[in-house]
Amino acid sequence: MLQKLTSFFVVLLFFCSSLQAQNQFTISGYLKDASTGEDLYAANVYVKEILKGTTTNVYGFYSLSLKPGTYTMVFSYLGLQEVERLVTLDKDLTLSLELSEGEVVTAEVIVTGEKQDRNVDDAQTSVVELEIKTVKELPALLGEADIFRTLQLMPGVASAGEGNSGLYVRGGGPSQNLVLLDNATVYNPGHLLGFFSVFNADAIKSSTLIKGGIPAEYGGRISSVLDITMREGNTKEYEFEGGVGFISSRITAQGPIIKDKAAFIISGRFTYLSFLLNPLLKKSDTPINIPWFFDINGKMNFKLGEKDRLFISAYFGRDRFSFSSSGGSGLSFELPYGNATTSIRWNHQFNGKVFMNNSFVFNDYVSKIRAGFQNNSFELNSGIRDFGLKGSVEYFPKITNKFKAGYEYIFHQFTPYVYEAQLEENSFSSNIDVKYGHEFALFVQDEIDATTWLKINAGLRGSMYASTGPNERIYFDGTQPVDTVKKGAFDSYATYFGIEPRLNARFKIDEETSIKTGFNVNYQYIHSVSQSTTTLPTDLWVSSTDIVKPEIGTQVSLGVFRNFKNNMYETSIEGYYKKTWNQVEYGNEPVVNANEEIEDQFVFGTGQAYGAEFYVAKRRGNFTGWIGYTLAWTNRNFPDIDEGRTFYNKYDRRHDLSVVLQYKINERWSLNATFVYGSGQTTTPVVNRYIISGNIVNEYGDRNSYRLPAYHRLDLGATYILKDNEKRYSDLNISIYNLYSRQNPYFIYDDVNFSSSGNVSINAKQVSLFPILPTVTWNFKY
Amino acid sequence: MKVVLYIVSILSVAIIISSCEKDVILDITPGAEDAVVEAWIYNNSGPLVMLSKQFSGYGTFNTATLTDELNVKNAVVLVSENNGSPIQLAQKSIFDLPIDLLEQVLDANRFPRAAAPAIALLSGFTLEQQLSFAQSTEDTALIRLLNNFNFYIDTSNTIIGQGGASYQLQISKEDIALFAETTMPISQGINFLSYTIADDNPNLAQVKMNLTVPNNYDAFVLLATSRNQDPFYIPDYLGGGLSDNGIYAGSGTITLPLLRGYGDNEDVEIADLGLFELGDTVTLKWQNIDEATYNFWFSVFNDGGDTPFSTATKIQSNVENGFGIWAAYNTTYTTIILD
Repeated sequence: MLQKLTSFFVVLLFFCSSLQAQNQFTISGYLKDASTGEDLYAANVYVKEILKGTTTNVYGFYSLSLKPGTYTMVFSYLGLQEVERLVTLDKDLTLSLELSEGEVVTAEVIVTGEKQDRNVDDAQTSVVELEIKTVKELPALLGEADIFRTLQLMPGVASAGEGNSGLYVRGGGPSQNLVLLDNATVYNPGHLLGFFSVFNADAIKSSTLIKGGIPAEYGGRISSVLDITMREGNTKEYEFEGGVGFISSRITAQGPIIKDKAAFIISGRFTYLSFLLNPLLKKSDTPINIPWFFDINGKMNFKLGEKDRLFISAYFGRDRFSFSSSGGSGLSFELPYGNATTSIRWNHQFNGKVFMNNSFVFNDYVSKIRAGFQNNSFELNSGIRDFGLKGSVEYFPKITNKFKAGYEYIFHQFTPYVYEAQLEENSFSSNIDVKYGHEFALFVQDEIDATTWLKINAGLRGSMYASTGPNERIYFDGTQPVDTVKKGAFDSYATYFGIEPRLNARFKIDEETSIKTGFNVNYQYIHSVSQSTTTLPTDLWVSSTDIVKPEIGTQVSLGVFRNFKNNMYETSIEGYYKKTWNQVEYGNEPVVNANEEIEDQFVFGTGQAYGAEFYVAKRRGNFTGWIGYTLAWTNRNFPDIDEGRTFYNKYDRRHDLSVVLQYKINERWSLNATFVYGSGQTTTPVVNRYIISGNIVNEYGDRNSYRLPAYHRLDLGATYILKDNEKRYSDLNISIYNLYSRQNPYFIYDDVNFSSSGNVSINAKQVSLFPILPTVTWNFKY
Repeated sequence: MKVVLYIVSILSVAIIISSCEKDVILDITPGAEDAVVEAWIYNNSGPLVMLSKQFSGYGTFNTATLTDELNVKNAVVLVSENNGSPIQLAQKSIFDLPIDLLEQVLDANRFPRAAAPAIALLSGFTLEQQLSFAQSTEDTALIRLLNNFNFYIDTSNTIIGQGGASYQLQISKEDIALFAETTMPISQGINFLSYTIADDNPNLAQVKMNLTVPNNYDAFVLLATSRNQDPFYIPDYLGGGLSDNGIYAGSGTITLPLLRGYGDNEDVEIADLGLFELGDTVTLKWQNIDEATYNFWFSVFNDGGDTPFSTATKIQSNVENGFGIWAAYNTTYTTIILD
């Protein structure tokens, strides 16, 4: 099937290509970092004579088709020396280069690196390209540089609150973001109950967040796409780097397997505070153990020939939260959970104009709850496992045109809450079966420089989803089973189709100003419904079925992008409107029959989000940084919640401000500061109480109808470079999180206390997580 | 899923323990103070109805005063069996309750059990005599009870709880018009209790229940335990106090652990959680209930509030136009001495 599809696309493209061949020749190749051999993604390839160019794809590949002639080609990438080549194009050429490190730049020198006006010139709107360097330099919570937490500093991206690394992008929830690590989907990307993301910054090469105008090559989620690519490994020499902090450490090793042809990288991270403190807690009879996590990223890449490359990457991470009592009850529980992903990718370059990638992807998210009491034990398992094939062909017929088409197939296996219990001599187990789903999509997209002022990226994605057996499903009316349906592997409970148009358009006003618009329709066939706002291991992924319909999201955005002083300053104002259907929530009344399918607890409704994002950034000089401000609304309407009254979404945040400043004092010292301000989070208030059998029982008001106090925080950081030469690098990073120790609200609860004198006190208490938190991290590289 | 909710509660507690807290003042507009029904009928016993109102706000309240102030008197309360002719219940003070209903009220932890001897002493006297006694002893709590709190009971002894019957409740007064219906299941499940010595502590015992479970899913149980002469407490943790039959249906005769219930002010040693002490006389109050009653108690026990780990729970009441519960409890008491 894979071969047939690929062959079809290749034949089609060869046919088109041959029509062009008589007028143009193609120059193509790969750009790499000279010191490591890493592919350079989004490096600039510019032709001076025609004032046009292109950028490399994620594999460092570029292709330009030009009329015969002599051209001055400029190859550049941020932080690396620009290279110029005079090329006589009288036949198809291959030109691959390695770019070396550049010189120190001052505020006055224009960095001839990454295409500086990409934010103005590119057709893609609503995109954040995150530099890993920035992630590592900003003050970090407990010393852990975190990609998600840095993304939360961008306009349009909100956090769920203190200590939460979940991404809420333009009103969408965390489960509505497509999170990819080397093409493999990552589910529940949070460590330590969402305090940190699963992504080790040392292992990451690039990170792109698309908030709107999502290109047709991406699908399966309705809110955003976070596409993360791992580093490939140094093909030149061996390198070691890492960091030691208060609660965790990390180590990365990379090097050539075969010099210039194959390389590996392996990166690990683990917390050790638990190993230090848990023995002490045990001695003091404190039953709760400090939770811990570890994760490992690994990758190998092989150059199989001039036209073929193979990449194998993997991620494995685990968290554990546990509780154990040493006394007579033998009470214990533990919460192990985590992700594992694998992707195997094969690139093939047919010729200078046609580039193909095929991937096999696997990911497995598991969550367990184990509890024990005396002779009794209980285990609850849940998770999702995917096997997938993805492929695409990129065709570069001419300099003003990039065409891409592809397919995607994912086989999903859903494990709902499946339990096994041993109670005294009796064994019990769940009779809820594993669920299966087949997700398939085809897409085409084309980026065209239609005129000097109009660039369009238009695409269409067609998707299909079938929820199938082999399994058995019991339908309940209350607690009474009324029907049992059995399906085989090729029988479906429900089949859905989606047509998903996508469009980005850029209207260039002048060299530094453009207006962009984006439009997308997305379908989401798998869902995670949470009873919490943090990424809990207990969050469950479920399939679309005859009861749960696919979520549909449509978004339109419009923005003005303007740079100043030769792209030293970037500014933008962007507005968006998003409408969603078939949104899934738990009802207000979560009473659960252990044998009922979880989807029987769901209620369905619609959502909408709209707002405006303002962004100003200084990108060059000793003093850099940005200010991002978002004014936004997000709400939902469910007929079964609050009698159909519209309510604010949990993460509705009216005002969201981030100020990030970085100052390089000299060769050794740099300072950075982050200030964030956000309107208070919504919460559901207690409006009345009553007494039943000595219990104080709460009556709640409308969902999310009360707003907590505002959140704001200032972080400071300083980095001192201890050593920096060809062989070694080390620095000391000092971070102070929450400098003025504001007690930001994490949540509010009613503290009810009964006294022996017959009094009951009910007080509202605010829980805050982190006071001022200084940390020191030592980073090194050999 | 219920274990998930319990685990989430533990996580919430862990967060609270390890983080900072402060008192805050919230500017919340209270809702209308609607009527609240706490009413029940036990097997072989008559119905008992308490009617009160909601309250709002924060602060320190005296439980007895609060209970009295919220009590709704002089309502018209009607109960029928199997949709038969309704019987109007009479309004009575605590001192006029028959002994079986008084025991049920005290079991429900509505009033301190310490008041039981005085209440028993005054039973059978006229209201004037009871007030006179209370005033002579300057017992303000008794005085308040006599003057303020009322129950509605069937003094004609027409309605007596029995398994398999349905019971309808209607309440009306001024702007109050409530209706509820409940069904008393047949008594089933509990056979006997046994115990074993705890693994790590020879002074503690794990009590176990021998049960015969029905084959159908819609069988529900509410449990409470009492040690010696202490009140009954529901072990509303780790799924110990409330159960449906979803896991056990069709298993025949099984043995399950019985967890110990704890009072609000009781110090609980985590290491000894759920265990009883050797020498205790342990009484299990086993109550077969219907689905609506199960849903009510499940939502009460699992309301974790609106936190990052849970969402606010709407309490599932079977009372139309009001709050609370009208429940039929088919109750069995089983006792074991841990000698």
